[in-house]
Amino acid sequence: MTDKNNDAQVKDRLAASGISPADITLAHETSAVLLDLLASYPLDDRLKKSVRDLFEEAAQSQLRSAG
Amino acid sequence: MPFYQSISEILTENRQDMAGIRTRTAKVIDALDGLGRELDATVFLDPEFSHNQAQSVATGDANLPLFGVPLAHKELYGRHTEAAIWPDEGGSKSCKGQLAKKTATTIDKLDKAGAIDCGRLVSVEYALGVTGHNAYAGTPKNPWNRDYVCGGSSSGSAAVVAAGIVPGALGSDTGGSIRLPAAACGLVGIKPTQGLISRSGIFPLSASLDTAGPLTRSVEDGARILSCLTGYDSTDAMSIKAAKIDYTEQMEAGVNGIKIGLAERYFLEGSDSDIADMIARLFDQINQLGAAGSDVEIPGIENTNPLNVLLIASEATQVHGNKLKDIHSDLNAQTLMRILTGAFTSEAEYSRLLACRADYIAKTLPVLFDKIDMFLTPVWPFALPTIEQSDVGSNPEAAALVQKIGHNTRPVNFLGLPAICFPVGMDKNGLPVSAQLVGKPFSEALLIRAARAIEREICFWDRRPDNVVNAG
Repeated sequence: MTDKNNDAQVKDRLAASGISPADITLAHETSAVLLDLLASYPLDDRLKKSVRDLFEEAAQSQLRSAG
Repeated sequence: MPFYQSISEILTENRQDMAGIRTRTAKVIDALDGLGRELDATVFLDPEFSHNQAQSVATGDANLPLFGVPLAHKELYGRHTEAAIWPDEGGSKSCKGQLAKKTATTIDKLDKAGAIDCGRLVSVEYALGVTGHNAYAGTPKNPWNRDYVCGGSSSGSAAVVAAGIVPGALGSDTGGSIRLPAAACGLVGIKPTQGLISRSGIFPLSASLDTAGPLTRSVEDGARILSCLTGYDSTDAMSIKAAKIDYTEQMEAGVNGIKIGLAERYFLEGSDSDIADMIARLFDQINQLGAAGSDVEIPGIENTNPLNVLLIASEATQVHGNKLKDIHSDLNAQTLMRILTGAFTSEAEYSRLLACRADYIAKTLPVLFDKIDMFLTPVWPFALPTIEQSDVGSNPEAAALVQKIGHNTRPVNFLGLPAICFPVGMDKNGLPVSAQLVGKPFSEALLIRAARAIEREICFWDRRPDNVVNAG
């Protein structure tokens, strides 16, 4: 995983690992579609909770109602 | 030789004749070595270990919840013994000869519950695949018709349970890998709430999304195994302290009063009409049993499938990406492409992906479960394909078909929710069709209760692929 979005660096690293140019191009295109979708998600920065936090709260709530 | 015994039947026999545990274990190992290998489902046996375990259990506490019950599991589940010969290959040639260095927490829990571990079963490479194809470890054949896929990635687990060799097997589910094979083989599959069951000691795919659970022939057997698996584990970063529940306790309480939603948009509309019609009819049937049914809308659900794909790819790359130079020629083309796709996710994008998932869950669940307890969807969006039709390796046109298979399952993983799938009938080719109920976090007991009520009505438990199994 790169520190910042540097696709050229990733491509060079994959090529140096022996991955074919066709596979690198296809993976890059597929990734771009998925990352575009991610970028379009209207993220609410106010939520500071992780997924684990959310499920921990749900478990605690269940424990309280059972107890 | 198939047995088709329930856990309850096995427990009764074992408690009457403790010496019989060793005999049954030997027969199960023979069946895994024979029929299990014929089905390309068995990948590893350690008869000496299993016989010793049977010997030890047979002289122990007969009240254990899985006293002498023979099980076998997906190859991803580690077991470290003195001989250190159990595999940890992740279904991949790239890990050929790799041995388990520790015993999975779940396997340890089953040992303590008195189960007999009879071996390991084929997994799709790195658990990254929904059809069950695996050129290295074998492509399990569906016991209902050997030309058809078992689904993946817990393909071997589904094959041997459907063939009646063992009453249950563990699988793992990151995008549908318990539910798709369970559904393909007419089984019950339980994908637990994220964090309920430890993944420690299981070959990893996605740190955020991996879950572990059972595939069984009945809801009751699934509930019995699930009850033994839960509990907080500090060695799994996602593990959560939740209520310890015996999932069989409320199992027979029926669906009366349970509020069940039908997720028509996305789930039914995204499935073939014959499958969607079967699920809609099932919904009516459930309402006649006393459930309070209503339509449910899940805004933004269509984005969860591709975002789940992105999260799996990004995290699979974290696990396997640094070895690409050494392993890429050993990987199948689909596995390689998923890992390469994840390589382009930067740290900032990965952080955003985790934040978006949390944001979506936080906003969606309170609204979704305000008026319902669970919702109903199909599992496979179309009739099962044959092994040949869905072999992307030899038929590139199959890629579009394969891509759609996880349509109904991946959103559930993205939401982290529990789900239970169960068979509801047969398709035009005589292969099982299944539905899934998806519930609130940690609502496994209610899901099991509803699924059990439906199972009682449909009685799929009585159907067996005997002729196909015995026809060889």
